[in-house]
Amino acid sequence: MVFSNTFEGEERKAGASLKLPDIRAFVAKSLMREVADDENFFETGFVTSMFGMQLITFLEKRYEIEVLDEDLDLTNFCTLNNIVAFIDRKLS
Amino acid sequence: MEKQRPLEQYRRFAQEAIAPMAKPSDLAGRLDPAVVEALRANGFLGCITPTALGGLGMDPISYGQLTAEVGRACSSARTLMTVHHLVSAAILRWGGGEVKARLVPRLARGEEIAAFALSESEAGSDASALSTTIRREGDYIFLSGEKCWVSFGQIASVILVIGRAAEGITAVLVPCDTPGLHRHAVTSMVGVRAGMMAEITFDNCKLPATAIVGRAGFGLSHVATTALDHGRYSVAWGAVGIADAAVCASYAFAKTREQFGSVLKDKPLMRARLTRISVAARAARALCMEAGRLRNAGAPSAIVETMVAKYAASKAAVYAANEAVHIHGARGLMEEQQVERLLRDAKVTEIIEGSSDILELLLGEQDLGGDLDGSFFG
Repeated sequence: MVFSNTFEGEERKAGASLKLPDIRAFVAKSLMREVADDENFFETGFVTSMFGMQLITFLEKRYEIEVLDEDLDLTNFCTLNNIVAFIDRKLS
Repeated sequence: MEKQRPLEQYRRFAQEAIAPMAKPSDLAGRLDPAVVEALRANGFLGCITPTALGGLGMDPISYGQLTAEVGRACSSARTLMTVHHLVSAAILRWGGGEVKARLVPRLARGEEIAAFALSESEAGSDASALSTTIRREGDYIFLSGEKCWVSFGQIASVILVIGRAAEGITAVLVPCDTPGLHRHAVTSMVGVRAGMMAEITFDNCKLPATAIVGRAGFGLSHVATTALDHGRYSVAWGAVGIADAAVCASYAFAKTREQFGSVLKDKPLMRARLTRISVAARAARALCMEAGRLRNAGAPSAIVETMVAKYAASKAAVYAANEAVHIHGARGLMEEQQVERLLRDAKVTEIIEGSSDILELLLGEQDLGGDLDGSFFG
């Protein structure tokens, strides 16, 4: 799967329907396996030591947000749906 | 962001201000203070720090090229740049506002020297085995444990320490004048002898809870990972500098050394050796440039490509330096030549910031084949 590197304003602020497939593809690519939308992938045993930083770098670049030290809560990043909710909060 | 300086300026700085001190520093086991001052005076202890925080705001490729030139001149000076900047990078990324505003400008101006303490005697590559403890009591934390292989731990004024708290592995910033902190110089290293290595003991060091960098429990997955990612990028470029130096020294020697009626460079076997090390050095530089391009773009793949660059560049440095010693014959084994130091320093780059073996394991977890077209994560 190939997608562009940047979103334009309206697309960037779109709802879960746009973000979820993108984030799902990134996580599947990073972990080399598919994950369900509510599956806690930190509990799967497939998360690599680089994944946390790769995911944050991806989200910051993709959605033009800044993940701060106070955002470091596994709940924000442990499932696809939680990531989408986190992005929505950062963009609101 | 600093206006990009020509590579020639970096080279002149490194050759004039650092290279003459490299051998005496190596022999003395202590980086000449004039080198530290030269880096400080030129702002080169704040390369990656934004100008708004007192740094030069260099882009990753400019920083890399400078690091390569410094590494070419003196790996111990490059090591200072590496550890100092990797701590700066971690604080810039995960430090709280107050710490960032107070400490980062001082680091950038070289008013503080930073070191990084991760390894322990029983926790090297396996960072999850750390035994240094961080105990919280109200608004304070108490740090106890012993760290080893702390580059520039002998002169650092602040150390980023990775230890174990109730929440998990956690990063804390420890001023070196904290009561209970003791340093012990480590000497007789094979390479980077002027890296002023130390073992650091923390005997129930009392610190404000604000010394925690990032959130407690994220010290390894995010803070140390950020630091090591920067460190790998810096070491990779430093290895490029070693490889370049080995190639240049080998050509210079082969052009003048006559045996059997002609100079070495005209011998077919020598040409093959020179070609192989030249290509290895160029390939290492190309991988570092690609990692730099991706870092500049903020691409997620930069983390992996930085590991690729470090893995390849450190191997290229060892290969080129080993060949350089061989090309110099018996002279190559003597301290009077720089190539024996290059070989000793090159070996260090294969071990620090993730050994080549660990990088093979980490890279093996990645779908590298899927990224060959470069189109997925940018």
